Amino acid sequence: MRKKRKSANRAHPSPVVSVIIPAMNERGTIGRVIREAFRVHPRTEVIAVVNGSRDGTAIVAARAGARIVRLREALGHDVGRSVGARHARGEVLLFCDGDIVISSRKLRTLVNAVLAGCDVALNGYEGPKSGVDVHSVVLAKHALNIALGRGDLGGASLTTIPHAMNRKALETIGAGQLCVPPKAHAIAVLSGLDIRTVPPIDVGRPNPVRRRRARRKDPLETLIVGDHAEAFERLLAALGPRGPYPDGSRLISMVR
Amino acid sequence: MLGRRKKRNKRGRSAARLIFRRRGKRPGRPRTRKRRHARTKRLPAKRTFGGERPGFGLRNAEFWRRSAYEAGLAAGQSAVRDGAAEEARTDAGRRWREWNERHRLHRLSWDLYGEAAEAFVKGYAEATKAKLETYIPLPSEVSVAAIVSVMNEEETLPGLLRQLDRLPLAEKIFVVNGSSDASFSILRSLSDGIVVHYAEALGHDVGRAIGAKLADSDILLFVDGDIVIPAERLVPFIQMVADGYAIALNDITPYLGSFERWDHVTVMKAMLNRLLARPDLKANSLTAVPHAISREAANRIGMRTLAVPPLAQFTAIQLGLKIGTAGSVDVITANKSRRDNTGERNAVGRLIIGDHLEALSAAIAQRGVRLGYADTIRRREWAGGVSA
Repeated sequence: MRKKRKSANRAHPSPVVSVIIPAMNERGTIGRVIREAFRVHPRTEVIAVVNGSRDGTAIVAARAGARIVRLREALGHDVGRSVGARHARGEVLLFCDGDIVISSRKLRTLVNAVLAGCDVALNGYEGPKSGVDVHSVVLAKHALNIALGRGDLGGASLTTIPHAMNRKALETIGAGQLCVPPKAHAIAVLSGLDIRTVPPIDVGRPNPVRRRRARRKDPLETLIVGDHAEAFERLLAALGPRGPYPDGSRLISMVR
Repeated sequence: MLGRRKKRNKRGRSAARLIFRRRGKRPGRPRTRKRRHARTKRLPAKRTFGGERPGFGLRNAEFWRRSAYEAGLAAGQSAVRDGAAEEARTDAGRRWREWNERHRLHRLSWDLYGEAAEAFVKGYAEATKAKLETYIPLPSEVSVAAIVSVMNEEETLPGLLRQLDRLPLAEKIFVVNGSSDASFSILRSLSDGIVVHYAEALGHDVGRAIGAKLADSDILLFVDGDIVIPAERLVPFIQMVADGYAIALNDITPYLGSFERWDHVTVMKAMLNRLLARPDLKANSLTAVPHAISREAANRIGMRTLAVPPLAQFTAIQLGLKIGTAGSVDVITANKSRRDNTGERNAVGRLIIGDHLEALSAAIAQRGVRLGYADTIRRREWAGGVSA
């Protein structure tokens, strides 16, 4: 039998990095996720936003050394990011998920990118891109970047975890906006934050979204497509009906 | 596993029903047995059946060419006997439709239709000694206007005109704009169509709207001056509108390759369709030629809107017009190497992306911030400071 001992990890009193991990019924993975999170920087705090859990996720997370923000009800997709961000004290915020274990070596690339000077560091992973029938979410992420005039970012987006940002970026975007990640992404680009990508961290295979996708209708897909609609709305409200693109001087008045 | 097997049975049954409807009644056998029989022996080559009517399915192209040629010959002979009052093309077209009405080759395969129509016309021409050359009659009697926007296309125009001349078009409208080459004089000398000339460049796709405004026909067929499409490949677009569709698009999917190779414009086209809840349209759009629009649909969409194709596409979807893809013509490979179309950051590409955003703006104005994609599970009040 595995011995249940308390982890030596504990939140640093004045952290540089705050790792935010929303979790809902993630008892099986959360311990390992937190353990990796603590290794990204010597001065790290890990905040687990445990919501709507009935499987003891909070207990496992607390034992692993995380600060627990506990909510009885399920917050819904990505709201945990907003909640966690409000509790963060570090200069750098690293956003992860409770159901995917990513090695600290990979997480560190994001933290280091922000520490080296950029405002937002995105995971360069773009999702499956082979085949003609591309998944709506992959398509939407690419399209949003193109619409923002940042086609160079490819499919990288705040929609994809893990990603990191500094406090300036958090304040510019607003913690409240993080719960609709594509919109947060649009705001980040529109406010001229320095956004860079790090080499891809594959979150496709271990992600349960994909397993769910194998079934017929993915409710998350329509949610995320709607989120992108909100992001487009934000962009078009800010830059006008054609975004950053010209209208090519059409002589429409000639059509009489 | 069980579910899957059940499904296959279902499919088998419906296919069997279809075959039997075509075969007609077979007396003396209970219906259930027929079905079971058909299910087990669903795809044998034995699918031609007796009677005067040639069978469906596995007849080969050679068979249809021969049948059509003989039918054309007979039609021509009877035309000579009757002393046809009509013009040879009109008469041949009418007689072809009579023949095709029985065999409905356009429902079987467009390749077959094209070959058979050509053979029929050849037979007809031989019998009547009329000059019909490679005329392609349409499956339905409809009035069609071809609308061609032309900007410095002297190289492709002669070929394009040759192909358009093969079709029974009621109108041909060429909108020449901003051309510094011989496009205009080529059109004046080689075509009997209407040529509209503007010295200045009207801007992308404005020519289409002007042409649409000028046309009187029931079906508007849009092509570009820079690409020569064989006439028989244009017929499906016309027919789809004749069949009741408002818009028949070109299915460019087969030429796109996998997503990682898509250019920015293609990504935006696919995104617009998905956001408008028409994923079935994939990356197909009014931006690409050829496409056909019914006169009525064009009027409802509005001529000025037609000058911004993605906006026209949104308007059509919003109006609930019937939109489908009629055929697949490769306009990608031919277009790739063109001057201002190359590179991600080219001017035309940027214009078209802007068009798509304009369409999205209109969509958001009408359908709301989330375009109708509900967000019911997210507890935004906990996030603070956001609302949809």
